[in-house]
Amino acid sequence: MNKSKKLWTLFITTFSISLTANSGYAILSVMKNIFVKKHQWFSEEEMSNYIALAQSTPGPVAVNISMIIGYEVCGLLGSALAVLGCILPPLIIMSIVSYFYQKIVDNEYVKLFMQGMQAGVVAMLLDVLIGLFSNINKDYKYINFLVLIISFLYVRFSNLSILYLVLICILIGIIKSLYIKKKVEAK
Amino acid sequence: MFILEIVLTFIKIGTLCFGGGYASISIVEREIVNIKGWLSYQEFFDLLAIDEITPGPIIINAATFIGTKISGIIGALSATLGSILIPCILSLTLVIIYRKYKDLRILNDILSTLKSMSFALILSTMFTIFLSIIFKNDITSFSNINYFLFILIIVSFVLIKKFNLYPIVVMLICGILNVLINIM
Repeated sequence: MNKSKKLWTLFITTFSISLTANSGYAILSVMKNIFVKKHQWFSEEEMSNYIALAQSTPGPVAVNISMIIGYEVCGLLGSALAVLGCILPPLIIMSIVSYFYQKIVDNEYVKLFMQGMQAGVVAMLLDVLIGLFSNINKDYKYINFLVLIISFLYVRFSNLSILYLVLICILIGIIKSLYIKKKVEAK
Repeated sequence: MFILEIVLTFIKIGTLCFGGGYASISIVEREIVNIKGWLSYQEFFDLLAIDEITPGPIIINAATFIGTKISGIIGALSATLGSILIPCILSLTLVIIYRKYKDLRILNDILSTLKSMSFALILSTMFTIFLSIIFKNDITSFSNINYFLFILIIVSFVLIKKFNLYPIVVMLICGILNVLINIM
Protein backbone atom coordinates (compact mmCIF):
# COMPACT_ATOMS: atom_id res chain seq x y z
CA MET A 1 0.00 0.00 0.00
CA ASN A 2 1.49 3.32 -0.95
CA LYS A 3 1.63 6.31 1.34
CA SER A 4 -1.42 8.24 0.18
CA LYS A 5 -3.56 5.13 0.29
CA LYS A 6 -2.37 4.46 3.83
CA LEU A 7 -3.15 8.03 4.87
CA TRP A 8 -6.61 7.83 3.38
CA THR A 9 -7.23 4.46 5.05
CA LEU A 10 -6.12 5.88 8.40
CA PHE A 11 -8.46 8.82 8.10
CA ILE A 12 -11.48 6.87 6.91
CA THR A 13 -10.97 4.14 9.52
CA THR A 14 -10.73 6.47 12.49
CA PHE A 15 -13.64 8.49 11.10
CA SER A 16 -15.94 5.50 10.82
CA ILE A 17 -14.87 4.07 14.18
CA SER A 18 -15.54 7.40 15.84
CA LEU A 19 -18.96 7.45 14.23
CA THR A 20 -19.98 3.98 15.31
CA ALA A 21 -18.04 2.63 18.28
CA ASN A 22 -19.30 3.54 21.70
CA SER A 23 -16.89 2.68 24.46
CA GLY A 24 -13.12 2.75 24.58
CA TYR A 25 -13.01 -1.02 24.54
CA ALA A 26 -15.18 -1.24 21.45
CA ILE A 27 -12.89 1.20 19.66
CA LEU A 28 -9.79 -0.75 20.60
CA SER A 29 -11.18 -4.09 19.51
CA VAL A 30 -12.36 -2.70 16.17
CA MET A 31 -8.94 -1.17 15.61
CA LYS A 32 -7.31 -4.49 16.39
CA ASN A 33 -9.48 -6.15 13.79
CA ILE A 34 -8.77 -3.60 11.11
CA PHE A 35 -5.11 -2.79 11.65
CA VAL A 36 -3.83 -6.17 12.80
CA LYS A 37 -6.07 -8.69 11.08
CA LYS A 38 -7.24 -6.90 7.97
CA HIS A 39 -4.38 -4.63 6.89
CA GLN A 40 -1.69 -6.40 8.90
CA TRP A 41 0.17 -3.19 9.62
CA PHE A 42 1.12 -4.38 13.12
CA SER A 43 1.41 -7.57 15.10
CA GLU A 44 -0.96 -8.33 17.99
CA GLU A 45 1.81 -7.67 20.46
CA GLU A 46 2.69 -4.29 18.97
CA MET A 47 -0.98 -3.36 19.01
CA SER A 48 -1.32 -4.35 22.67
CA ASN A 49 1.64 -2.18 23.52
CA TYR A 50 0.22 0.77 21.63
CA ILE A 51 -3.05 0.30 23.51
CA ALA A 52 -1.18 0.33 26.82
CA LEU A 53 0.55 3.55 25.78
CA ALA A 54 -2.74 5.08 24.71
CA GLN A 55 -4.21 4.34 28.11
CA SER A 56 -1.23 5.79 29.95
CA THR A 57 -1.56 9.33 28.75
CA PRO A 58 -4.40 11.66 29.62
CA GLY A 59 -7.11 12.33 27.11
CA PRO A 60 -9.61 10.14 25.30
CA VAL A 61 -8.15 6.77 24.45
CA ALA A 62 -9.59 7.10 20.95
CA VAL A 63 -7.55 10.24 20.30
CA ASN A 64 -4.40 8.79 21.84
CA ILE A 65 -4.55 5.54 19.92
CA SER A 66 -5.22 7.44 16.70
CA MET A 67 -2.17 9.58 17.36
CA ILE A 68 0.06 6.58 18.11
CA ILE A 69 -1.07 4.37 15.25
CA GLY A 70 -1.03 7.28 12.83
CA TYR A 71 2.55 8.05 13.77
CA GLU A 72 3.72 4.46 13.47
CA VAL A 73 2.14 4.10 10.04
CA CYS A 74 2.86 7.45 8.44
CA GLY A 75 4.68 9.79 10.79
CA LEU A 76 3.28 13.12 11.89
CA LEU A 77 1.00 13.46 8.89
CA GLY A 78 -0.47 10.07 9.72
CA SER A 79 -1.08 11.19 13.31
CA ALA A 80 -2.75 14.37 12.18
CA LEU A 81 -5.11 12.63 9.77
CA ALA A 82 -5.96 9.85 12.21
CA VAL A 83 -6.78 12.34 14.96
CA LEU A 84 -8.78 14.45 12.52
CA GLY A 85 -10.83 11.40 11.58
CA CYS A 86 -11.40 10.77 15.25
CA ILE A 87 -12.63 14.23 16.22
CA LEU A 88 -14.64 15.24 13.15
CA PRO A 89 -17.79 13.17 13.86
CA PRO A 90 -18.33 14.47 17.40
CA LEU A 91 -17.34 17.99 16.40
CA ILE A 92 -19.89 18.16 13.61
CA ILE A 93 -22.73 16.25 15.23
CA MET A 94 -22.41 17.80 18.66
CA SER A 95 -22.28 21.30 17.14
CA ILE A 96 -25.61 20.68 15.46
CA VAL A 97 -27.13 19.14 18.58
CA SER A 98 -25.84 21.98 20.78
CA TYR A 99 -27.35 24.52 18.45
CA PHE A 100 -30.77 22.92 18.72
CA TYR A 101 -30.38 22.30 22.42
CA GLN A 102 -30.01 26.01 23.08
CA LYS A 103 -33.28 26.54 21.28
CA ILE A 104 -35.39 23.87 22.95
CA VAL A 105 -33.91 23.70 26.44
CA ASP A 106 -36.50 25.97 27.99
CA ASN A 107 -39.37 23.76 26.99
CA GLU A 108 -41.00 22.09 30.02
CA TYR A 109 -41.36 18.74 28.31
CA VAL A 110 -37.76 18.77 27.18
CA LYS A 111 -36.73 19.45 30.77
CA LEU A 112 -38.75 16.52 32.03
CA PHE A 113 -37.37 14.30 29.29
CA MET A 114 -33.81 15.23 30.18
CA GLN A 115 -34.51 14.65 33.85
CA GLY A 116 -35.79 11.17 33.06
CA MET A 117 -32.70 10.47 30.95
CA GLN A 118 -30.54 11.44 33.90
CA ALA A 119 -32.07 8.61 35.91
CA GLY A 120 -30.82 6.33 33.16
CA VAL A 121 -27.40 8.00 33.34
CA VAL A 122 -27.15 7.22 37.08
CA ALA A 123 -28.00 3.58 36.41
CA MET A 124 -25.45 3.43 33.62
CA LEU A 125 -22.71 4.99 35.75
CA LEU A 126 -23.44 2.45 38.47
CA ASP A 127 -22.99 -0.33 35.93
CA VAL A 128 -19.71 1.24 34.73
CA LEU A 129 -18.47 1.52 38.32
CA ILE A 130 -19.18 -2.13 39.03
CA GLY A 131 -17.17 -3.08 35.94
CA LEU A 132 -14.30 -0.82 36.95
CA PHE A 133 -14.25 -2.12 40.49
CA SER A 134 -13.21 -5.57 39.39
CA ASN A 135 -10.41 -3.95 37.40
CA ILE A 136 -8.76 -2.27 40.34
CA ASN A 137 -5.42 -3.95 40.67
CA LYS A 138 -5.71 -6.55 43.40
CA ASP A 139 -1.96 -6.73 43.90
CA TYR A 140 -1.63 -3.49 45.76
CA LYS A 141 -5.12 -3.51 47.20
CA TYR A 142 -4.43 -1.37 50.25
CA ILE A 143 -2.67 1.43 48.42
CA ASN A 144 -5.28 1.42 45.68
CA PHE A 145 -8.16 1.57 48.15
CA LEU A 146 -6.43 4.31 50.07
CA VAL A 147 -6.02 6.28 46.85
CA LEU A 148 -9.68 5.66 46.12
CA ILE A 149 -10.84 7.00 49.48
CA ILE A 150 -8.51 9.99 49.40
CA SER A 151 -9.64 10.82 45.85
CA PHE A 152 -13.29 10.56 46.77
CA LEU A 153 -12.88 12.81 49.81
CA TYR A 154 -10.83 15.26 47.78
CA VAL A 155 -13.40 15.54 45.04
CA ARG A 156 -16.34 15.71 47.42
CA PHE A 157 -15.01 18.16 49.97
CA SER A 158 -12.43 20.36 48.33
CA ASN A 159 -12.96 22.94 45.64
CA LEU A 160 -9.50 22.72 44.21
CA SER A 161 -8.67 21.63 40.72
CA ILE A 162 -8.20 17.93 40.06
CA LEU A 163 -4.69 18.78 38.87
CA TYR A 164 -3.26 18.46 42.38
CA LEU A 165 -5.00 15.14 42.94
CA VAL A 166 -3.60 13.77 39.66
CA LEU A 167 -0.09 14.92 40.60
CA ILE A 168 -0.38 13.26 44.01
CA CYS A 169 -1.62 10.02 42.42
CA ILE A 170 1.18 10.02 39.85
CA LEU A 171 3.65 10.55 42.68
CA ILE A 172 2.14 7.64 44.61
CA GLY A 173 2.32 5.57 41.43
CA ILE A 174 6.00 6.32 40.95
CA ILE A 175 6.79 5.52 44.60
CA LYS A 176 4.81 2.30 44.26
CA SER A 177 6.77 1.42 41.13
CA LEU A 178 10.14 2.03 42.79
CA TYR A 179 9.03 0.02 45.81
CA ILE A 180 8.02 -2.91 43.58
CA LYS A 181 11.34 -2.66 41.74
CA LYS A 182 13.25 -2.81 45.03
CA LYS A 183 11.26 -5.80 46.19
CA VAL A 184 11.94 -7.66 42.96
CA GLU A 185 15.65 -6.83 43.06
CA ALA A 186 15.89 -7.95 46.68
CA LYS A 187 14.72 -11.46 45.73
CA MET B 1 -9.28 37.42 24.52
CA PHE B 2 -11.98 35.10 25.61
CA ILE B 3 -11.07 32.46 23.05
CA LEU B 4 -7.65 32.24 24.65
CA GLU B 5 -9.28 31.56 28.00
CA ILE B 6 -11.37 28.79 26.45
CA VAL B 7 -8.30 27.21 24.87
CA LEU B 8 -6.25 27.40 28.08
CA THR B 9 -9.06 25.98 30.20
CA PHE B 10 -9.54 23.06 27.86
CA ILE B 11 -5.82 22.42 27.60
CA LYS B 12 -5.90 22.10 31.37
CA ILE B 13 -8.92 19.79 31.27
CA GLY B 14 -7.40 17.63 28.55
CA THR B 15 -4.24 17.24 30.57
CA LEU B 16 -6.14 15.96 33.60
CA CYS B 17 -8.36 13.44 31.85
CA PHE B 18 -6.98 10.19 33.13
CA GLY B 19 -9.05 7.09 33.55
CA GLY B 20 -11.47 7.12 30.67
CA GLY B 21 -14.53 9.01 29.60
CA TYR B 22 -16.59 9.14 32.72
CA ALA B 23 -13.68 10.27 34.86
CA SER B 24 -13.11 13.01 32.30
CA ILE B 25 -16.61 14.23 32.86
CA SER B 26 -15.83 14.69 36.55
CA ILE B 27 -12.95 16.93 35.52
CA VAL B 28 -15.33 18.94 33.38
CA GLU B 29 -17.72 19.19 36.31
CA ARG B 30 -15.02 20.60 38.56
CA GLU B 31 -13.38 22.96 36.07
CA ILE B 32 -16.32 24.18 34.01
CA VAL B 33 -19.28 24.07 36.40
CA ASN B 34 -17.65 24.71 39.80
CA ILE B 35 -14.64 26.83 38.99
CA LYS B 36 -15.46 28.71 35.79
CA GLY B 37 -19.24 28.66 36.00
CA TRP B 38 -19.60 28.34 32.23
CA LEU B 39 -22.34 25.74 32.64
CA SER B 40 -25.04 25.41 35.24
CA TYR B 41 -25.44 22.02 36.90
CA GLN B 42 -28.63 21.52 34.91
CA GLU B 43 -26.81 22.09 31.63
CA PHE B 44 -24.02 19.80 32.78
CA PHE B 45 -26.45 16.94 33.48
CA ASP B 46 -28.11 17.57 30.12
CA LEU B 47 -24.68 17.35 28.49
CA LEU B 48 -24.11 13.96 30.09
CA ALA B 49 -27.39 12.68 28.73
CA ILE B 50 -26.87 14.12 25.24
CA ASP B 51 -23.35 12.76 25.13
CA GLU B 52 -24.69 9.24 25.38
CA ILE B 53 -26.61 9.75 22.17
CA THR B 54 -23.92 11.45 20.14
CA PRO B 55 -20.84 9.57 18.89
CA GLY B 56 -17.28 10.31 19.85
CA PRO B 57 -15.29 10.61 23.08
CA ILE B 58 -17.05 12.33 25.95
CA ILE B 59 -14.46 15.04 26.30
CA ILE B 60 -14.73 16.06 22.64
CA ASN B 61 -18.50 16.19 22.94
CA ALA B 62 -18.20 18.24 26.11
CA ALA B 63 -15.70 20.62 24.52
CA THR B 64 -17.92 21.09 21.48
CA PHE B 65 -21.04 21.59 23.57
CA ILE B 66 -19.48 24.08 25.95
CA GLY B 67 -17.49 25.84 23.24
CA THR B 68 -20.61 26.22 21.10
CA LYS B 69 -22.56 27.60 24.03
CA ILE B 70 -20.07 30.31 24.91
CA SER B 71 -18.60 31.21 21.53
CA GLY B 72 -20.25 29.42 18.65
CA ILE B 73 -18.23 27.50 16.09
CA ILE B 74 -14.94 29.18 16.96
CA GLY B 75 -15.54 28.28 20.62
CA ALA B 76 -16.22 24.66 19.72
CA LEU B 77 -13.07 24.41 17.61
CA SER B 78 -10.87 26.11 20.20
CA ALA B 79 -12.17 24.00 23.05
CA THR B 80 -11.85 20.74 21.10
CA LEU B 81 -8.35 21.43 19.81
CA GLY B 82 -7.28 22.69 23.23
CA SER B 83 -8.55 19.55 24.91
CA ILE B 84 -6.53 17.23 22.68
CA LEU B 85 -3.30 19.23 22.53
CA ILE B 86 -1.53 17.75 25.54
CA PRO B 87 -2.88 14.21 24.98
CA CYS B 88 -1.50 14.30 21.44
CA ILE B 89 1.89 15.66 22.51
CA LEU B 90 2.20 13.14 25.34
CA SER B 91 1.10 10.21 23.14
CA LEU B 92 3.69 11.20 20.56
CA THR B 93 6.35 11.49 23.26
CA LEU B 94 5.48 8.09 24.69
CA VAL B 95 5.57 6.40 21.30
CA ILE B 96 9.01 7.87 20.58
CA ILE B 97 10.31 6.86 24.02
CA TYR B 98 8.78 3.43 23.59
CA ARG B 99 10.62 2.97 20.31
CA LYS B 100 13.89 3.65 22.09
CA TYR B 101 13.45 1.94 25.44
CA LYS B 102 10.54 -0.52 25.19
CA ASP B 103 9.91 -0.52 28.95
CA LEU B 104 6.31 -0.13 30.03
CA ARG B 105 6.39 -1.28 33.63
CA ILE B 106 6.51 2.06 35.40
CA LEU B 107 3.59 3.22 33.27
CA ASN B 108 1.51 0.30 34.47
CA ASP B 109 2.10 1.17 38.10
CA ILE B 110 1.21 4.80 37.63
CA LEU B 111 -1.78 3.77 35.59
CA SER B 112 -3.19 1.45 38.24
CA THR B 113 -3.03 4.24 40.81
CA LEU B 114 -4.83 6.57 38.44
CA LYS B 115 -7.48 3.91 37.86
CA SER B 116 -8.34 4.02 41.55
CA MET B 117 -8.54 7.79 41.37
CA SER B 118 -10.83 7.57 38.35
CA PHE B 119 -13.16 5.23 40.16
CA ALA B 120 -13.56 7.79 42.92
CA LEU B 121 -14.17 10.60 40.44
CA ILE B 122 -16.89 8.70 38.61
CA LEU B 123 -18.46 7.68 41.93
CA SER B 124 -18.58 11.30 42.99
CA THR B 125 -20.20 12.49 39.77
CA MET B 126 -22.76 9.71 39.99
CA PHE B 127 -23.66 10.86 43.50
CA THR B 128 -24.01 14.43 42.36
CA ILE B 129 -26.49 13.54 39.63
CA PHE B 130 -28.31 11.16 41.96
CA LEU B 131 -28.75 13.74 44.71
CA SER B 132 -29.80 16.37 42.23
CA ILE B 133 -32.60 14.40 40.62
CA ILE B 134 -33.85 12.54 43.68
CA PHE B 135 -34.44 15.51 45.93
CA LYS B 136 -37.02 17.93 44.60
CA ASN B 137 -36.14 21.59 44.70
CA ASP B 138 -32.69 20.83 46.06
CA ILE B 139 -34.03 20.37 49.57
CA THR B 140 -32.43 17.32 51.12
CA SER B 141 -35.02 15.76 53.34
CA PHE B 142 -37.05 12.57 53.38
CA SER B 143 -40.31 14.32 52.72
CA ASN B 144 -38.98 15.64 49.48
CA ILE B 145 -37.92 12.55 47.59
CA ASN B 146 -38.85 12.02 43.96
CA TYR B 147 -39.82 8.36 44.33
CA PHE B 148 -40.63 7.91 40.67
CA LEU B 149 -37.12 8.79 39.57
CA PHE B 150 -35.69 6.64 42.32
CA ILE B 151 -37.63 3.65 41.04
CA LEU B 152 -36.64 4.54 37.46
CA ILE B 153 -32.98 4.38 38.48
CA ILE B 154 -33.37 0.95 40.01
CA VAL B 155 -35.38 -0.39 37.08
CA SER B 156 -32.87 1.09 34.62
CA PHE B 157 -30.01 -0.52 36.47
CA VAL B 158 -31.68 -3.92 36.33
CA LEU B 159 -32.41 -3.47 32.63
CA ILE B 160 -28.81 -2.53 31.88
CA LYS B 161 -27.11 -5.05 34.11
CA LYS B 162 -29.36 -8.09 34.04
CA PHE B 163 -31.05 -7.73 30.68
CA ASN B 164 -28.14 -6.10 28.88
CA LEU B 165 -30.19 -3.45 27.18
CA TYR B 166 -28.24 -0.62 25.59
CA PRO B 167 -27.94 2.23 28.08
CA ILE B 168 -29.03 4.69 25.43
CA VAL B 169 -32.30 2.82 24.89
CA VAL B 170 -32.96 2.69 28.62
CA MET B 171 -32.24 6.39 28.94
CA LEU B 172 -34.62 7.34 26.14
CA ILE B 173 -37.36 5.22 27.73
CA CYS B 174 -36.77 6.88 31.09
CA GLY B 175 -36.98 10.29 29.47
CA ILE B 176 -40.30 9.47 27.86
CA LEU B 177 -41.69 7.91 31.03
CA ASN B 178 -40.76 10.94 33.07
CA VAL B 179 -42.59 13.22 30.66
CA LEU B 180 -45.65 10.96 30.70
CA ILE B 181 -45.85 10.65 34.48
CA ASN B 182 -45.79 14.41 34.79
CA ILE B 183 -48.49 14.95 32.22
CA MET B 184 -50.94 12.68 33.97
